[in-house]
Amino acid sequence: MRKHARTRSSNPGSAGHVVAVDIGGSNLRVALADTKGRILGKFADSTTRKSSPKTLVKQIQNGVSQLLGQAGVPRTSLLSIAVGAPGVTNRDAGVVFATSYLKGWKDVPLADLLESALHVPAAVENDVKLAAIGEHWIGAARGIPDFVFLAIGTGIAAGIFVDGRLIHGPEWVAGEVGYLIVPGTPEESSRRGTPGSLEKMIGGKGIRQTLLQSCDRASALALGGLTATEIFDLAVTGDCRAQTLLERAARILAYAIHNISCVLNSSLFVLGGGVGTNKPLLAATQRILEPYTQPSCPKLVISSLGQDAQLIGAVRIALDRARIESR
Amino acid sequence: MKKEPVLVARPPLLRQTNAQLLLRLLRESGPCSKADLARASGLSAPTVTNVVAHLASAGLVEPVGEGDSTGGRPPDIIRFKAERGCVVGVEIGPDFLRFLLSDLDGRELGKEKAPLKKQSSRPASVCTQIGKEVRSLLRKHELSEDQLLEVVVGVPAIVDVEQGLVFSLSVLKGWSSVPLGPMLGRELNCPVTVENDTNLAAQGEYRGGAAKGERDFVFIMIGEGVGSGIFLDGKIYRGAEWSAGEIGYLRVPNISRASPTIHGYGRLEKVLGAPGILRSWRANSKRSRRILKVSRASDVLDLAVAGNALAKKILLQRATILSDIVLDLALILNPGVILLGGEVGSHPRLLQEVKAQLKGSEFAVVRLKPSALGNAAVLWGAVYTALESAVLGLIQPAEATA
Repeated sequence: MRKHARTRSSNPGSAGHVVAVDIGGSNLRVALADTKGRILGKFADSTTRKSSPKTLVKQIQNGVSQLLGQAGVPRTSLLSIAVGAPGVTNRDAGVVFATSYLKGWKDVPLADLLESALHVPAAVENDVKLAAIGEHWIGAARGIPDFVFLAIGTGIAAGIFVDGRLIHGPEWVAGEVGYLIVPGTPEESSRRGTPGSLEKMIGGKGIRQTLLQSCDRASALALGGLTATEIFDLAVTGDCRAQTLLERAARILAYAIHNISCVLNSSLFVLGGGVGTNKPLLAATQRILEPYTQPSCPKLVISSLGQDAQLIGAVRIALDRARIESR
Repeated sequence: MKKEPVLVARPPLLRQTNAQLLLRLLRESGPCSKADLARASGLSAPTVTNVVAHLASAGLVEPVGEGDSTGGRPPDIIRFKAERGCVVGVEIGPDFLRFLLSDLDGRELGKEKAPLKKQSSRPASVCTQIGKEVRSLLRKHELSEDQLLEVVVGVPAIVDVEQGLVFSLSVLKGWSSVPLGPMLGRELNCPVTVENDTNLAAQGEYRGGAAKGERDFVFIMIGEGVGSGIFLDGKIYRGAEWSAGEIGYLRVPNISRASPTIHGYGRLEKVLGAPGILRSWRANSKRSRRILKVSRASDVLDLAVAGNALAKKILLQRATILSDIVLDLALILNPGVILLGGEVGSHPRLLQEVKAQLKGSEFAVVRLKPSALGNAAVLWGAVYTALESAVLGLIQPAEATA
């Protein structure tokens, strides 16, 4: 476990503040929260693929200064900081091994960098796992010991809770379900459609490509300009072509959820991310999963914390880092 | 400054904790003196004397005479009385019952196997048969029935461990929501725990086999059926509804590709399990069937090693399916190691082929090892599980009378 940065001792229950940060592929969000977890202010800045760790730390420092100023909170009140990184992270050492969103990020000792810059204990965790922590704390998975937070957006990954604890695995890559191999679509004619990874099939850019490639020319022309979620929303209005594509995506998602469920026997899947929070996709996936009640029959819901899930998870681990009890 | 409240331990609880500690140290080290125990535990000499007296009254320890003097009075050596009681591990298979009798040190005293006949395979008959076999085993080793402290039973089914309820056993008829724990408890007149067999096999490998020291691993069992036991953070993970690890229900691409219209439940189990391998062999080998002797699935795999073309094809197809399973488990759980066991799973050629197929994959970076305990894994897992609660049970009554 990490050594604590030298800092004044925290006094649980009294005044104090923590900082939560969410690093994304194109932006950075910083939030200031009190010891009850209430968010007092937010700050946003943009990032690019080329953003270096040093640059981001400076942006975070800047954000922290601004938020402290706006809230009239003295710097001495700061107890800890927690950051969500978009990549494989060693939570114990506070090191981000790699991320496909930020170029050149390899074995970045982000917690050390933050502690040196801000002089408070720092925690770093993978962003999808933070979202799972947030949902477990005050979101859709509150009080649920065995659940999966499945983020479906640009990438696909899972935050897995078993017996009320998040699992990481010895190499910190538990939940990298984006790489699960799923069969090609459609299932009726296995001649077309070679198996591909889940992420390639229904993640980010892949989803539009895969869906549109698999349909006829007329459909591709009609729907080509839309995003995946726009296609799904269109399907509900009765558009047959869009409906076929929605079915296809839902089938792939159902397949993945079924398989993860066979292994984990989780009682709940919380869906997040840009694509995961689409209601028509959820409904179609639930319909497909209905007959598959053995061995597991998990409930499917959409994330209740939405875009803030990661940030809220970061608040939670910042409070943990500052040794403040969770209610 | 606010003071932290100090937790004052109640004397009986503290004594029980100390009793567990000293007992563990004594069992690990072998016979030793009270001074040794004081040194190893950090407890004071009077406390050790007190606790040892309690353990002695529970019949768990006894003095064995004097040790070597290092200058003062020769120390009294005490030993753990492993013969104070015994435990039995039971495995219920599709057509057999297996038994393992052990003392409280986990030393094997005896083993037994009995056929399970189809006509007597309903729950009540099986309980009666288990009762007979266990009593016979005890007699054979000159143990009385009240020395039997605990029995743990492994079954190829999803089990509600808290209630000792077997949900459904696919390999035996009439087994649906069977309260096997209470039934056997009455038959044997001792505490009975029922658990899924693959979970017990994982426990066995963890305590005394190929997964020693691995806090996160999966044990894949491929024999008559297909299942897995999942260990997370050093203990069995059962899932929200007792069915974690039911990989027999996984839908993997290579099965879908082969027969896209069949996605019934347990399809994977039908293909990958021993009966499915035999079926594939018999369906395709009309000519060679009479010449080559094949009675078990492992015979088919042996033939693959010998170079038989059909056997090789069957092996390759199963290895591909198993590779998909390993990949799924690696990506979801990131286990430290995956063990392969069972009649089919433990075949070295299959393991070799799976390793070869996964070699190029960047993602399935997981160690694959064969199970070390073979078909004794379930029994040893049962015994280790029984030992834990048996010894605990012996310490607690001593507190009740104190």
